[in-house]
Parts: sequence; structure tokens; C-alpha cells
Amino acid sequence: MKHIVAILFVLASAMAAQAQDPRALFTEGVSAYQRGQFDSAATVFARLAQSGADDERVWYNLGNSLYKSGHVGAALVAYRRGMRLAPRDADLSANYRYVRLFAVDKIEPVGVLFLQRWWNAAVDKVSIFEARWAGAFLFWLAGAITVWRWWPTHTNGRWLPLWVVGCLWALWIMATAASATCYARDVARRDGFVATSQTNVRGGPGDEYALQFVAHDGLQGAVERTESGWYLVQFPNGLKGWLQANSFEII
Amino acid sequence: MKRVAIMFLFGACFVFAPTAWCATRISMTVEPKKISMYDNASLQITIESDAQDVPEPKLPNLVDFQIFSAGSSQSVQVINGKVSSSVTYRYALSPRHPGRFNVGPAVVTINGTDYTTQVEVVTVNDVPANQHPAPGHNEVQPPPTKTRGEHHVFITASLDRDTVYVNQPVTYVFRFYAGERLLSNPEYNRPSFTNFWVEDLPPQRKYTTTLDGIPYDVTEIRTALFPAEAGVKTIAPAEVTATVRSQSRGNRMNPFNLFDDGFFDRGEPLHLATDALKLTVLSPPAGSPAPPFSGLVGKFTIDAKADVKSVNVGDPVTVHVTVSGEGNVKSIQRPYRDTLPNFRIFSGGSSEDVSTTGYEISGSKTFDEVFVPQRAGTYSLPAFELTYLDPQSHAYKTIKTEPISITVAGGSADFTIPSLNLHPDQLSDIAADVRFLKTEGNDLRRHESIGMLGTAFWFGHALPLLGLAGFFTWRRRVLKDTADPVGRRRRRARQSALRLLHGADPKSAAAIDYAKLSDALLGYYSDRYNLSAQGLTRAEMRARMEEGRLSRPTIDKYLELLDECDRGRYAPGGASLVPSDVLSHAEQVLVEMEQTR
Repeated sequence: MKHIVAILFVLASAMAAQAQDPRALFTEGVSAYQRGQFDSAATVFARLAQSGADDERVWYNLGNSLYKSGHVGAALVAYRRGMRLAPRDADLSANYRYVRLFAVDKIEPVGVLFLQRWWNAAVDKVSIFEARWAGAFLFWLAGAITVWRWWPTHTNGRWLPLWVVGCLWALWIMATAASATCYARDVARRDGFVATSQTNVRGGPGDEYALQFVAHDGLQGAVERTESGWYLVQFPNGLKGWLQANSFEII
Repeated sequence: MKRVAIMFLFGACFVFAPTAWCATRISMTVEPKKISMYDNASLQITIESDAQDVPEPKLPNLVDFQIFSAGSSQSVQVINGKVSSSVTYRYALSPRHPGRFNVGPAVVTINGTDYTTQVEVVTVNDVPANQHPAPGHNEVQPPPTKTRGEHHVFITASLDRDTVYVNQPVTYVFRFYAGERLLSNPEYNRPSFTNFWVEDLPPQRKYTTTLDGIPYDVTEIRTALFPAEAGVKTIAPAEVTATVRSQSRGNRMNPFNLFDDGFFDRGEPLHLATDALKLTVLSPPAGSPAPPFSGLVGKFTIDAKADVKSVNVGDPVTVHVTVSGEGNVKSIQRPYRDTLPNFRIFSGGSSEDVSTTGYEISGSKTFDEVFVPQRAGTYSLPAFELTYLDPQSHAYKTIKTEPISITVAGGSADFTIPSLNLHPDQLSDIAADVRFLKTEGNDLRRHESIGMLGTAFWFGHALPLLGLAGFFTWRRRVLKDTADPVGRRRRRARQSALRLLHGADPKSAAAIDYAKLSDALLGYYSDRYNLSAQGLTRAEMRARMEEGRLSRPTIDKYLELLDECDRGRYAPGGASLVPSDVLSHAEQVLVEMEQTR
């Protein structure tokens, strides 16, 4: 039971190879959920995700199924994966916030500057794809307008005020910064959640190291280092410690 | 008569003023008031007076104590021309036998008036030596040696235990012994307690002790340490810097030391350091029972109370679970509990109350758990359990609360917001359940190969950026050419000529377009000298080229080529060179002319 979540997320590749029709799997998962068979529903939605369906509805339903079967941390991981694809999905956000209330460890995150908080909140509303498409579009637009305005053989574009071009480039810089933030959030930083009922956080990568504290299901953290089956995780309140890799699910 | 009375009063003021204004106060303190046979109490008598001469107070008859003088200090204040002084006399009281004794009153006589203090009561306990609270068990009694020269100042550091478990508190005791007057406040540098969680244990303790017959003022600072990992740990030395009286003052017999007096003594710095301390930190023993070890080491109790015992369906029952005890209270985690069907359970806030009374870390932490019943009936809320390590018995102990019975009456389950201790902006998040499943899945997206996230994206950005840089380079050149058409013609003369020459390239070795060849050569001339070559005589052309510092052979070759073109155009068969040679000659001439630019 302890490692059921890991098993769900890393299903046998043979099963993935025999991938069924995604629509059929989706319907099967929904039926299992409606019958109250939440473990089965979670297994089906995990298979669906494993087989390549990268859709926010799959992650949403997987999150619901995992939460209903008592896996708070794993549910949070699934919701966050869905929120990467659909950051403004109200259902995903609501369920994510709701399930977070069931995380046992209530810790105070380290404070950040209000500007950074504001920026993070704004960037959380966009996916990495949107940020990058916006960046690319603004780049081409600003580039084309710049070329048009400064084309040497005609003066048609000179009526366009310089500040308009400046604003376009400023928007492009913001979009690029948003892309970088999204990249850090979704790809570079390995955020995750404790996905077992509780796990020992130790001073080093091994059971022989001193126990520092006990982390419980649903506690968020960011993996800083990996060493022989152990993760060095930093928690939002700034504490760091090593925990077994199979007790922590990376988003 | 009235006038006489006023004058009398006025005169009386002058007569009695010195006495009336000569305000004197005397106070006495004894600290601590409860001591053991092995401790000393500090008796301090302070006399504040604006009298010129303040005598030493008469001590009460203290037959139950040995009394040592610990010196005196005086401070003088001049405010608005009025001089007042405060003299403090300190004594160390060493008990002769246990009991309860009155200390006081002390008396001082100033200007014929006796001023007396209050009486203090001191209790002396007969504590066996092995339970001696200070310095404490396993603590090292400081050696009565002087740290440096003849100075009666030294420091010690000790731990109340030499072997502990991870997370078990150990008390670090630092003591500063001053057996002589210090000329500045000592500066204490605490060691860096690496690998320990640190908790200060205020207040500082001050008392007097006698070592080898010398009374010392002792300042004691206690710090609780919680080792974070197992192993033999070394605690670095603590350090103190103080200023003491100079050694040379001891030589009173030196007749040349006219100014060798305390008033002129600026003192000398004294640097003291304790020894490093070793502490063995053990890992928790194997074989933790269920629920798993919480990381707590010490002695703990657990208690749970429900705010109501009888509710309607949907009404919250808040259970306050309190874990209290001695040990690492701040590390207390939410106790384990079983799930409970027919209830929604919310984890509320927590509060802690940590105390350092008696130099021990103790306290409690209270967690709120909110149970919202969904169906009517009689239920037993699950017990809360916690496993901690008892360092005295070296064994794990599991404590649990008693189950709490509640009665749930029928009613509609409207799931009102339970009274969680949450931030207001979280309240809106508390729904009855997660939102329902998404059932429409006909158009599921596949996992995209997101090249956009990696190299391709940045390449897609870098390429147009290079294009943009190229555009501005090109634009600069265009603007430069526009501003200098002559220079542009000159720079492009050879290029244009070569283009024309290649247009004159023969299809066969027998035929050549001499007209184009001639245009190319004349065009080069026109571009280079910004002159129309049409209508110029050969002599004018030569003259111009010579001005342009072209060599005579090159000029000759150029003009000969023009003549060859004319012969080829107007006298077919009169050309002296084969067509392919004409072209190579032309290119060679242009190269030579370009080199002398």
C-alpha cells in the first residue's frame, strides 16, 4: 500500500504498449469513479496518462480518484500536472486548494518580496506554452514593425511613435521573462509532494543518518539533489532534509 | 503677629534645610533566597544619600552564615549642582547549617540618624552532594586556579549530560567567575553550536561562591541544545574578553610608582576561553512501534477534548489535542489518528506554549481537528496516538487519548464551514468535497513533443534576432550609400564592370560582344572617376588616369583594350587577340587598376 502511488505513476510499460483507445479508457475510469471504485479509477487514469494522453481532464480525474482513495500528496501532484496544461481551469484550482487543506503538515512558507509574489501569481495564470507563444508572437510583431518603421528606402513607418515600438519590445521582454519563470517552475525546479502517509526526513541520504523530523502526506517540497535513492528536499519554510525517493512524487 | 510667624517659618526652612534635604535610603537584597548547603547567597546593601560621607553599614548578627566581603562600588551623580551618591556593599553568605534564617536588618548611621533595611528570609536546604543542583550532575566543578597570572577571573563550560539521543535536550552551562573587580563589562562569545538546534534558557543566574577562600561573583548562562544528528560532537570553546586591573598595581612598595593607583589604572584586557566539550549523540534505537516514531525525545502526555458532545449532522465538532511534556516541544507533530467513516475531517491550526522555567524546556502544543458528521448516530471519535522516545528507559513509548463519544442528531447535511483556524482567504476554499469528475473525454490531447521548450524555441528566437541585426547593418550601409552616391559608384566600379564583362562572355571562342566589353571598361572608368567617358579622347583619358597615379603600363593596357574593342566592333576580323584572351586581359587590367586605387 505504501508504494501504490509510485506504482500508479510508473505503470508497467507493457501495459502502456498495449494502449487501448484513450476514449475507452477515459470512459472506463469515469465509470469506476462513479461506482465508487476510486482505486480502480486511479489506476485507469494513470494508465491513460502513461499511454501518452497529456490532457488536463485526465490529470484532474486522476487527482480526484487519488484523493478519494486517500492519497493526498499524489492527488496534489496530479492536479499540478493538470494546472501546467490549463492554469486557469477553475475546477483544477478549486480541487487543488481543497485537497491541500488535508495536508497534515501546516508550515509557514518563507516570505518573499511582494513584487515576486505578484509576479509569481501572474505567471501562475499562464502555461509555459502560452508564455512562449506570446513571446514568439510579440517578437515577430515587434521585429516586423521595427523593420517596417526603419526601412531605409521609404518613410511610410515614420509616423509610428517610437514609444509604441518600445512598448512592444518591453512586452516581449516580459513574455520572455514569464517563459523563463514558467520554465523554472515546470521544468528546472523539481517540485513535488510527500506521497506516503508519513516519511522520515533525515540529515543525510541513508537510514543511518539522524532523524530530523517526520513529514506527512501532502507536504510540498522541491528536490535539490538526488543520491542513491534519496532526495534532498527543501520545504517551503526553508528546512532541508533527505527522504527516500519512493516517498516523494515529483510533479 | 502674622508677619512674625511667616518669618519664623522662613528661618526654620533655612535651619532645617540641610537635614531635610539630606535624603537617605538604604535597601538590602539577598539572592537567591533558597539555597543549598553547597551554595552561597549574595547579600547586597545599597545606600543612596546626598550626604558627604557615607559610612559602611553595620551588618546584622549572622551566626548561621560565614560572611565574606565581595567589595563595594560607588557611583556619584551631580544633577543641577546637587551631589548624590550611591554606595553598594556586597557580601557572600555561606551557610553553616540548613534551616530558615532571618537576614537583617542592616543599619547605617548618617548625621546621627539610623537608617535600617528590611529583613529577608533565606532558606538553606540540606541537599545531598550527588543532587547538588549547581553546577549539576555530570557538570565539572571549576578548578580554583587562576587563568592568567594573579587574576581571580576564569570561565567554565559544561554539559549536564555526556550522552544523549538525537533531539534530546542537553543543557550547556557557561559560568563566569569574577573574584576581583572588573574595569569593563565582560564580553561573552558563545560557541557556534553546529549540528544543534539552540534554545536560550533565560534568565542569567548570578550568585556568589567561595573557592579556596576567595569569594567569586558567578554569572551563569544556560542554553538548551538539541542535537540534530548522531555521532560524537564537539562543542567549540566559549570565549570571554574582560578588562581587569593591571598586574603592576601589586607592587605597592615601589616608591617611583607615584601614579600607581586605581584611579589612573586603565586596566589590561584578559581573554579567556573554555575547553571544547565532547558530547556523544546516539541514534534512536531500532524497532519503533506503531504509530511510527514522531522524533520526540523526552517525556510527554497527550490529551484530547471535544468542544461539544452532541451535534446535528453537518455541524462541526472541534477536538483540541494537546501534547505536553518536557523535551523538544517545538518539534511536536500532529498526532496520528485513524480515519473515521461518515465524517469529514479537517486539520485545523495549532498553537504552542513553550516554557523555560527551571531551566528546562517544557510546554505543550495543541492541534485542532474538526470532525463534520454526515450521518446521525452515536460515534466514538478515534484516539490520537503519538510515539516518543523516553531517554531514561531508553525505550519507545506510545501515548494515546481516550476515545470521545459524540451523538449526532439527524438533520440535513448542509456542510456549513467548520470553525477551522484558517486564514480568511482560505475559507472560500472549504467546500464539502472536491468538484466532480470531468466526464467528457472525446478529444483528449496527446503528449506533445514540446520542442518549443528547448533548443528549437531558442533557435527560433535567435535566428530572427540575427536577422534583425543583419537588417540594421544593411540599413546602415544603404543610408551611407544614399548619402554618398559618388563614393558608392567608386566602390562598386569594379563589380559593375565585371558584371558587364561576364555579360560579354563568348558563347563560342570565335564570337565576343565587343560592345559590352567596351561598355564595361568605359563604365569602370566613369564610375571610378565620376566622369562620363563618352566623348573623351584617349589623351584626356590618359591624362586623368595619370593624375590618379595609375602606372603607365596599366594605362597602356587599358587603352589598348579599348582600341581592341573598337577594332572588334567596327572592323570585324581586325581584332588582334582571340576573344578569350581579350576577356582575360580585360579582367587583369581591371584588377591592376583596382590595386592602385
